[in-house]
Amino acid sequence: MISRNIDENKIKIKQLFKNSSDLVLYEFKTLANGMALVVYLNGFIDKEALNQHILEPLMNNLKSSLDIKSTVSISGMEETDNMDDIISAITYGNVILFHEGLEICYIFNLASYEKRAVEESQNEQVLKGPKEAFVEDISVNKTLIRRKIRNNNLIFEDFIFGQETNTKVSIVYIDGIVNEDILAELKARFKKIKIDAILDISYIEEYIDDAPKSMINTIFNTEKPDVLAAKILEGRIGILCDGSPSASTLPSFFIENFMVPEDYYVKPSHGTYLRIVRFISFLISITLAGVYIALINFHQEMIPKELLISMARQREGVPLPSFLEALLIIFFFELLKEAGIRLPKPVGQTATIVGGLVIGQAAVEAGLISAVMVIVVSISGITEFVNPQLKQMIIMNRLFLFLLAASFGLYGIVCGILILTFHLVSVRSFGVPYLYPIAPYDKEGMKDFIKRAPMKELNYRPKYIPNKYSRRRSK
Amino acid sequence: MIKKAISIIILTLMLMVCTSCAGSRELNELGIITATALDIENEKIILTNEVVIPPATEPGNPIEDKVVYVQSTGDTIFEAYRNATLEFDRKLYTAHNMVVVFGEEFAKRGIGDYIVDFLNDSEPREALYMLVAKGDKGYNLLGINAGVASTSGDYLIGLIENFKYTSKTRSVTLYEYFKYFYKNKTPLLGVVQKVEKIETNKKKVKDIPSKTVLNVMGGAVFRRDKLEGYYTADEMIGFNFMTNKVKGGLIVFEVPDGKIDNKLIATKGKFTTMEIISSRTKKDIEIVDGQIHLNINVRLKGTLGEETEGLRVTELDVKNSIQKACSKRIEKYIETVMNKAQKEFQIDNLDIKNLVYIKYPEVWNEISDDWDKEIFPDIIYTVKVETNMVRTGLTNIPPNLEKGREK
Repeated sequence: MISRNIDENKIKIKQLFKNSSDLVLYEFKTLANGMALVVYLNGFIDKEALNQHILEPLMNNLKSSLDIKSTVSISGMEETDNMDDIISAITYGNVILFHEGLEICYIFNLASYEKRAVEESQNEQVLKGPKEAFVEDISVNKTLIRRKIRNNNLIFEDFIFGQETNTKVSIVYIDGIVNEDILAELKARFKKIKIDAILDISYIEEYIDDAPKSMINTIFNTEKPDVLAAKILEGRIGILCDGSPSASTLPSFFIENFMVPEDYYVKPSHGTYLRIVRFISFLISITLAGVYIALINFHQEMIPKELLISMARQREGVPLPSFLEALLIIFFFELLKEAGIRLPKPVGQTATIVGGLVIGQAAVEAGLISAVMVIVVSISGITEFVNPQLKQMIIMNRLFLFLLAASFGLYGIVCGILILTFHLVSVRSFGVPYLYPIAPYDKEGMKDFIKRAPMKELNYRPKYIPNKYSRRRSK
Repeated sequence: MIKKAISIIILTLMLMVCTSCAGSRELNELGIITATALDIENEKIILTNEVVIPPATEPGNPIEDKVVYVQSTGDTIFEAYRNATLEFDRKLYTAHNMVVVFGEEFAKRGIGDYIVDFLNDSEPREALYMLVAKGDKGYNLLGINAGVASTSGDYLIGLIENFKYTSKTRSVTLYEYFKYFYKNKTPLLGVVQKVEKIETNKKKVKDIPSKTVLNVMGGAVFRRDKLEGYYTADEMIGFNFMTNKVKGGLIVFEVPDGKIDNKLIATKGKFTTMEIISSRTKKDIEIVDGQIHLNINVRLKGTLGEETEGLRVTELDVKNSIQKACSKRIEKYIETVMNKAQKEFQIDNLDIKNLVYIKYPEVWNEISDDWDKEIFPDIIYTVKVETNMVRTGLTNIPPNLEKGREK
């Protein structure tokens, strides 16, 4: 409740904010011969606008306390008498105006704060096509999407999550294309979120994930507005989160991990070629280490003789069993990767070069590990970088297959791949089969699978995602 | 939850300890065999293996694999293999062995009784080449390496696989041998023998004036699994034509003297070479008045390799006579091998009985028992060869023709 007395309001707000040092309370006298109070958080608002459009008119022109609305030249203005609203308005960068003798207060939206400019995407770089990436500020992100899809059916719905942080989360979809069932399901899952803080969109992803224990991502993540726009145009729902420079889309298919926006910006045949490369490198990265250990420990007859002799030559004098040798170099490779990412850029590069060249070569020369093993592990490492979206899945499953191969040979690998395939087939993302369009098979969906058909032939949106199996455009 | 975690940790630890126990072997525990020789002495099998032991790599140094020869004896081949571990510190690994050489005496005893191990064991390859050491012990030939390969086994494999360039030998694998064997056919194996040559390497010639090389020309004739004799290189060409296995090679022949427009077209004592591009043999059998007639039709496509007789190869008549002469030569090859098979060995390893069996099954039932000794030697055959010279090589006018113009 708001008091008619300015001082009481002042004390109340000070108490609520526990006298926080960034809270500004400025008292002044208006021409209506009454005291007024503006409250805002320092550094959160446009001070120039405050002075010019609120303080100056009030001081010089206000005749009566009832004329505030007509005196102040600010577009975004609300009235309220609720203390909770006032608090949240202050934390979102609004200016609150109290006037003596009024039981209501005015909220002016003057939010303006330092934010990162829209820059080129760092994690999903493309040679051709739009380069801009999302930033941390949600309103900027919204405009980035709106600028891609100028359509009144594009809808943003806002939610507030985090009991302590009160973070704004927004879902975005196109009305008429989006599947209402999936939308309802998402909102139902949103209702179950009980969380104290949200610092990144991954917090939400974790809460609404279909298979949280699995290594598979059932929610796609991107930092490029053009990717998000493409996804929601196919009927998916996007999630934006204030403070997070990436957005999520759902439901998600396995094949989306192999798709890169550039596939659609280059010629179809080249896009297909790139996808084949990515798919093969995925297979290599997940199986190569296991197949190698199975071949040299169990199935030597499968290696060509010349290669076998050359491998044996390198194994000669290596003290560790090849299983431990491989574990050692895999662990060493993970160390290099972590060091390269976490350290400051100049130092990180040095660490990688020193680690990779000097220690790697020295370890081979010292006879601690064999050269072929270094090659095998580095190839599976490099191929892992080709599909960054699948990084987590690749690393864990590679280790899984490797352990199986080391204990049971190729038999173990086949079992491991079977288990993995069963898992992939059974996982669903918001009720949509994860392995679409192979399982269940869909002829139209296959046009945008490993093969990227020309735009002219991509007539239908993916089955199961939009509200009906709909054509992309009118005939 | 804690129970689960502990059991996972224990299982992982067990995995690390047990990995090498579930049938896995490290590469540096293997003795990789590259060639095997089998002999029999004093009723015991003598097994000789060429084993490659790769040395540890040292950067910057050229690597030469160590080759050791491991000999062991036993009553069976399997026993001999296992006995080798008593004297050799690594387990012999046969999966990469590609060639086995039988000593002549061993082959005469009958290889079928012994080499079952190669077929029954899971390690040896079925693509193993089988050769007979002509007039020698198998182990005497192992270790001779006059080629660029790093082991004598690889050297020998290289020689066998070259057969398509000459057609003067055959490559027969374990799989092929037993395929014929089970079908009651008579297989033929390759042959290898030692040949002394003059050393031409000037650095070595001071110490050793001669060198030993291996030669794989010819074929070993078996009656079922017992060695009977050998075909020579020329007979092998005929044999390969008869069995439709000619993949390439040369036909060297003389074009007979003749005159076209009062011009001599050939010189005596000189030869013409035809390179085989492709060849196809069709055999057909007929029984007329109780007599088996065999018709052999060969169609050969060739290119003129060289000619030293002074032929005008661009003239149609000359071309025809070259083709005719080539066909004659092939006919002779086939006749030689038929003579030898019919008269000397009396072994039908040319697979003619199969033709009878397919065309006249009832007749075959009657005569099958005494086919080799009585029926096969009396078969009458006609050979028809059709040569088609499709190219004359890069020169149109052979240099020999220019000789005559001096006059």
